[in-house]
Amino acid sequence: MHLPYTVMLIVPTGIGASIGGYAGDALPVARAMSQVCDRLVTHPNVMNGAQMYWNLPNVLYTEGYALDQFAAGNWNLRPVHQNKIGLLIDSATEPELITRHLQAANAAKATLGLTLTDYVLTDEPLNVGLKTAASGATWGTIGNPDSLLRAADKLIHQAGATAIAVIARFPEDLVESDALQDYRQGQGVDPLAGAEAVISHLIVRQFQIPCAHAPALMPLDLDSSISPKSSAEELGYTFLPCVLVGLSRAPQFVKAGNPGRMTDLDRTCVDALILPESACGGSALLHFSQTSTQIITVRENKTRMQVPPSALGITTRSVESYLEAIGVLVATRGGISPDAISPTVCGVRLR
Amino acid sequence: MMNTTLITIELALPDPIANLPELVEQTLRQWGEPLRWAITTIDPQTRIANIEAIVTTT
Repeated sequence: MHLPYTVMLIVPTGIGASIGGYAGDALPVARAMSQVCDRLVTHPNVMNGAQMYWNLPNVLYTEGYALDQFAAGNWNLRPVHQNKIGLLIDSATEPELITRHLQAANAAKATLGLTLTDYVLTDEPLNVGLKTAASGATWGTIGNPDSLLRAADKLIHQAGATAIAVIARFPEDLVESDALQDYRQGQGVDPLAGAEAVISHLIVRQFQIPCAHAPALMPLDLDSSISPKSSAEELGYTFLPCVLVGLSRAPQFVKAGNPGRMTDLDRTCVDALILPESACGGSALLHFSQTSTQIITVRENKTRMQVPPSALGITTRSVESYLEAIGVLVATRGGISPDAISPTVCGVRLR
Repeated sequence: MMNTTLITIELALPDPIANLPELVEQTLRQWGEPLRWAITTIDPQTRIANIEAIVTTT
């Protein structure tokens, strides 16, 4: 009997992760990791590279609020063959930008064969506000969350959407900010990321369906010095293609305790969780720390957070790199203790 | 009408930390319904955690 080996990969959004803090630059990690497990549960920040995406059949693309609920044991994940994606557009978006996003949506229908509903405009501008907290992490506020939720409700209950792609207009003064210029150079913290997470969290909390976000911005001035880690967001007029691809097969959420299917995943299915070593202060890690799931923390993925496992009294397998983490996964999946792959091996002792 | 607000709080870490997520969310509910949060630093001497969060109020 084959027991599926399931891995969860988290790179929290908006904390300046040196791998995964830019434009889909953790996607190579996810691609490599997906080769050594049966199922990889991860989230849009890892998989989204604007016009760059890679469809991995064994990835469960799960938004962050849902990941936390999954880790808490409150929700299970239900794989699907496809979702019907509803496009929710902030009415603050200029007509030209809306047209660009509709073209991306139509291209996803015609070129990739994805299923989309008709789109909905919010009845008020969302008024996205960008914030940076004392830690250096970016957060965001939404001026009209009710309008966001009304539009999502319309897509779900009138158009039959089973997943929501949100396009919110981000403040134009961002373009001149030092934070954005640093980000384009592959430094600092993504100034948009925290607000993006808030938008998708609001919808997932309210409706318990998959959601991801693509920011709408006017095209940025051409700059030949952009970092490769940020280049995916310089390629066109929208960041929407990766979101549509991810949502097209994102798992649905089922409250724990409801009738399940054989293919549903609950948190006990997760064999290993991998995340940056300095970012252990999130809900998902704290929940998994109380289970038998193996936790692997990666030292080289620096972030603005300062919460290593030792500060919480949690024991993890600390590794230097994602390549080392992949080695641990391969050994563990094969029933081999990673400690045995070492020049010295401790013998058994009397307890 | 719903509002979203960024707040920062301090919280003494319990020992053990088994129910820490629930404790964080219970504490945040003094300001609103927790939407997204993270512990960002922990003082090793005092075991006081700094927490940044977005809460919603209606």
